[in-house]
Amino acid sequence: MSYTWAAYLVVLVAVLVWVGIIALKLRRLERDVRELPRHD
Amino acid sequence: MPLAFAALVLLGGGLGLALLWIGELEGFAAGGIFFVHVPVALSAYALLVWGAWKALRLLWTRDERYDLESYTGIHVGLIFALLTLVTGSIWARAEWGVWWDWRDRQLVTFLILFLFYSAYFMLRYSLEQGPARARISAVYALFGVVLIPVSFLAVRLAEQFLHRTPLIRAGRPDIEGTVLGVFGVCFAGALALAASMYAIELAGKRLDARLQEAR
Repeated sequence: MSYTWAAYLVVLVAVLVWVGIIALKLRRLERDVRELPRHD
Repeated sequence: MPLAFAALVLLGGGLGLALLWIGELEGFAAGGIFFVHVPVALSAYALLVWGAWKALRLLWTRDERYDLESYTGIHVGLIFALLTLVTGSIWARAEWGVWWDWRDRQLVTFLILFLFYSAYFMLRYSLEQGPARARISAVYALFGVVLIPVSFLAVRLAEQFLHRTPLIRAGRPDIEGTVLGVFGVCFAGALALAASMYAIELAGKRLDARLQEAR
């Protein structure tokens, strides 16, 4: 594999990891919203 | 979401064009890395400057919403800075045969910039949440921004060049035509990616803050 491809792959993997982390955080936030005590 | 889509199209399209149409830059080993390394580096600078600008707004107005904006800008900026270091290191290996060269001033000043902003998080999380933490973090972020022009100009101030700058030299573009056009597309894509990551992270952090208040 050429160095150019390796550099492109690094950026792609980093963005995918970031997307994964954000997706996990959003799931946690969604769960926290559901668990909020209701005042109705 | 339109911004994320634009980032995907521009960056994917730009890098695709770079690979298929241009191939490697003349005179460079693995010159194709230029189309990802330089846009990512410039986006890192832009994000860190944005974080510092928000820090200045916080100190100026005492409005605490700028604290989260400054923090998010620096956080995403640091991700881009890390990518700059990694892609730069891969390029160095292809170009110079080594992963790192301590004689290169731009590499070293960029590493200092990266470490400085890494310490921002250590400082921030060692303090209790509140107005004092927001102000101290803002002052630190503003100090860091001074390093950006130093890092950017380091290669131009150096007497002996290792780190080549195939963009602008002596006031005129060093690349032109197709290469410059493809670089522009990649740069726009990297900026759109940076902006969409910033917007998504900021929205998540704001929601998290509102949830903490609601509890």
